[in-house]
Formats: sequence, C-alpha cells, structure tokens
Amino acid sequence: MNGTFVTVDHPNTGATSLAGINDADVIVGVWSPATGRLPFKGIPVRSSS
Amino acid sequence: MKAFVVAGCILLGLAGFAAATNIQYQFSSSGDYPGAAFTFPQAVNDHKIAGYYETSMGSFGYLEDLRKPRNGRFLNIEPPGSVNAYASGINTKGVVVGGFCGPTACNPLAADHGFTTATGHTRRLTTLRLELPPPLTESMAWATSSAAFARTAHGFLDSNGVFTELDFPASQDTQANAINDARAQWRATTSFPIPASTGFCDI
Repeated sequence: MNGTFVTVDHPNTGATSLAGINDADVIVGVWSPATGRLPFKGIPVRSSS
Repeated sequence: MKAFVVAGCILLGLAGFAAATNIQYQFSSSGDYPGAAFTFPQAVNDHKIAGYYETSMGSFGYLEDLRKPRNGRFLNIEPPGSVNAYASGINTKGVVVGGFCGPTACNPLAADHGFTTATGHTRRLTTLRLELPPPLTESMAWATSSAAFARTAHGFLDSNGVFTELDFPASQDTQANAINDARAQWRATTSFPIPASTGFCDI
C-alpha cells in the first residue's frame, strides 16, 4: 500500500459500489443502472504501465 | 503495534500494485439470487461469494459457489431464529460471517445478532448482545453498547471466541466490516461526532 487511490467504475452507466476483494484482487459490488442495482464481480487485468 | 490508517481500504488494496501497473477489470455479473429483487454481493474468496438478497419479504443471506452451474450455485443462509439475515464476509476457509434479525429487515448496517457459519453449522454470537436498548447489538464485526463518551458502537475482533474491542481513536462509533487471513488489516468505518464517516485500516 502506498496511499495511491485507484477509481474503479463499472463500464456501464451508473454508480459503482465495491463491497469486497479477495487475495487475488477479485472484487465484488453492485452498479446502479437507471433503475435498480446489479451485482458484479471484477477480475483484474494487469498490464505494464 | 497498532496504527490506524485513515483510508478507504478496498481502494488501498488496489493501490498496492497500482504504482507498478495499470489495472483494469473484466466485469461480469456475479449472479442474481433466484427470485430476488436485488442481490448484493458483500465478500468474495477464491471461489465463493457471500452477500444478501432482498425480496418483498425482507433480506436474506446467501452463499454463491462460483464453481457450480448457474442453476445450483446459490445457498440460502438462514441462522436459527432469524427472520432476516445477511452475510458480509467470507475467508479462504469458507467461513461466513454476517448478522440476522427478527421481523425487522436488516443489512450490514443494522442487525440484532452476529453469526458465523461453515459447512452448514451456524454459531450465533449471542455473547455480543450488550445492555443498551435499541439499536440492538450489531452484526459480525461491530457491537452496540452504552459505553462512556456517548459511544454507540464498537468494533470487535472474534478470535476463536475471544473478543477484542476495536475503537478508532476519538470516534463516536466504530464498525469493523472485514478481515483478511493475516488478521492484521481490517476494513471499517467510523462515525465521528462531526457529521462524517471515515474509512480506516487497523494494521
């Protein structure tokens, strides 16, 4: 940890809320379309900067 | 030595490698609990997701096994004596933590009891019920009490049944939401006397 924040937004329109992360950095949360909230998981895809 | 780091720990976790790499995520639906109006995943280990879902009848905990086919991967979590429940954490051993309530619907911000469960055996954390009138004892990782200084909620660590209190310095409320395998870093929020909430890690 170095204090750098990374914003994570679901690619679809709407708000993104993260709830959990595991040791492989897989995240889970919900994103909000126009109506309702939908659950998602995100698998990290890393690339050299 | 304890050191509190004021930060959003999920984002800090991501930041650990952000300096060396660009990170992107491949998003997909984590699955909707069958028949639920809303499904809220709260935690994930290597192959299972724990969370809660809502129907017109209230909120209920679930465990989703990502290795199983879509039509058979969800397990309802129903602690004995519960009417409403949620799951908020899972470790690599598959132990799930959460909270449950009577007729009043509850979620990770409101519960009467905490519970842990693994392989179908649920343990009620009834020792968390303290003296203060409503709001009653909170769920898996925070408790409500009438302690001094108008504190209304405490975080805690349950280590094999031994409870250790966790309070962010000078906070009014402390809420521990998750823990990792090393049991060294927690993710939690606090509500200070000023109208603000702050995420922190207890390292």
